[in-house]
Amino acid sequence: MTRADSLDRSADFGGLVQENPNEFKVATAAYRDPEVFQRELRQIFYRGWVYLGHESEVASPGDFKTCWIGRQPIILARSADGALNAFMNACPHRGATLCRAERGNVRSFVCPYHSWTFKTSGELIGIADRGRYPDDFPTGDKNLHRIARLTNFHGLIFGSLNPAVEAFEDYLGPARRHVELWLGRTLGGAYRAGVPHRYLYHGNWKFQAENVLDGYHASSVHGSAYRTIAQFPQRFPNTSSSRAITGVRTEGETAGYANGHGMLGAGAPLDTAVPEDVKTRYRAALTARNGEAVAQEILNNRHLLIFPNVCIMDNNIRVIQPIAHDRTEVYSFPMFIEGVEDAINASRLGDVQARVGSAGIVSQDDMEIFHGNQSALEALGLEFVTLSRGHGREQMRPGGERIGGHSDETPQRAFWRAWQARLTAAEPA
Amino acid sequence: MSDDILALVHLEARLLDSWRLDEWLALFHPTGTYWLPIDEDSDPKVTSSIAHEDFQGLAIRVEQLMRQRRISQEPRTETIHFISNIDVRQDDEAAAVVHYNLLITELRSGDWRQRGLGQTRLYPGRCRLTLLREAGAWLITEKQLLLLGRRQPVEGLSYLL
Repeated sequence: MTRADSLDRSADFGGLVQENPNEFKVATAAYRDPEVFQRELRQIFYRGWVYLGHESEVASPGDFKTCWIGRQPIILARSADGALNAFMNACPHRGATLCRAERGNVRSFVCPYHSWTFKTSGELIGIADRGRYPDDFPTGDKNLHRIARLTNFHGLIFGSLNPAVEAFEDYLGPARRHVELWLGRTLGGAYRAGVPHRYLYHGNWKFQAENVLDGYHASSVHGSAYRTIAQFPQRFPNTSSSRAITGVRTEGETAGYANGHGMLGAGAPLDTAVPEDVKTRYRAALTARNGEAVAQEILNNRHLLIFPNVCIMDNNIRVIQPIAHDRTEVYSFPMFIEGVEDAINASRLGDVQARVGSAGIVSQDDMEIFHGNQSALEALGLEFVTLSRGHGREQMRPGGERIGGHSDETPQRAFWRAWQARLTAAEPA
Repeated sequence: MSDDILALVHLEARLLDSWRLDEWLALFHPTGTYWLPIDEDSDPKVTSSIAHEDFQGLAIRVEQLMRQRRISQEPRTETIHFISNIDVRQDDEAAAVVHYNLLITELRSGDWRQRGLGQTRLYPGRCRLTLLREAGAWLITEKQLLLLGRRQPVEGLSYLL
């Protein structure tokens, strides 16, 4: 399974990403080596910020959902005082799993093993048959184990297991602008997360992370979807199908950021089935609030990957959940806008479902590619893949922002630079 | 129990299994819908489903699968639908509802040693066909398939169940 070359690298994990003036290469071991996956968990997922969910998923006191930071089981809960809390999904008594449901609403968390009881804010409030413990039995460390950091960035909840992690706003850096543009769609209101589409593939998580920012693959992998849609002009009246069919897109741009975030921008809005009168009223409200130029930027389709594993994809948020080096789950949450006309949210629901849903006409073709990738990476002699589209032609901006052409691999290179830096950093003592 | 209703239930499954999807589509009434819920108690117009299609939406899927060389269908999925526990409720001459249990078995072969290929997957579920009789023939006005695994990640669902 593990090759000699990856064993040699395991001491420091250097050399997996190689940047030369004329080529940017990533070692195939980065996708296929179980030791690399373990290192990623420790150095990326357990030391940085990871998306846990949207605040609307835990809207009311007592609401909880279970989620994962890498392979660490987490409960995200809203307590009686309305605050957000995140704990390890583990009972401090004997290590039982506290919540076996994926989401729900509780007055308190009661462990199924011996009924130790905790407030939704995590404090231990009941030990069954307490009298059999020593009088001075220490309970101060028997509350639910709170994760080190939790932040709510305009409804997007991120957590970190690292108490020394940098402030989330600093981590996001100039990529923040793309989140703000996406928030601008709500006209000052809020998003609400819908029921997610869930699917899995037998391949490395980074295939999906790279793919959400890939403007180069669409006409190949999704050609059947575009050709099909072109047969139904009455259903997709706004589809500029010629562009989709003729090959690689030339509009829009890509961006890469110092902390590994990346953006794929179409430079045009997503084609939708929203009736023209509804669209006109919504656009007028956006323009009144933001001016014409910013309103157009807000409407433009963009994918923003916040390193390492969440992508704000226009009308949905996609969580890329690593399970093993060769197994990944994808959760795609449609994001509805509170307070807008129903036709807008109906279109968002329908688009996410038909396009990137678990039986959608687009995403399952990406999964097919990822399966093929994971098989092909076993090929001896294929020690590197190349991510060199637009390499050396990026426009450099302040704050480490790099801008590339629409189908350039600028965001993927930013991802891999950050990835390599974290993997080779010294592990904390 | 009506023989022609039973015949339709079996024909619908056989057409899917034999990739005669244009004929399968023709079993649907023009107002017909196809629904694979995630939450069967919700309104599919406001809540996510695995799939929720009107007739034209189904026609789009059939077009992609039959004539547009979908890459995730090369090699092609083969299915076998097993039908049991059939319960036909016919209200009058022109309306009926059929409930039955389905076990759909699925395999993509190709070079079966590669990832994503060579694994037989099982999709148990409860199916409900709502039927309307028009010009002497039964047509489907709704197919609802409630998959047992509807809340969990689905793998490789690039074809019609």
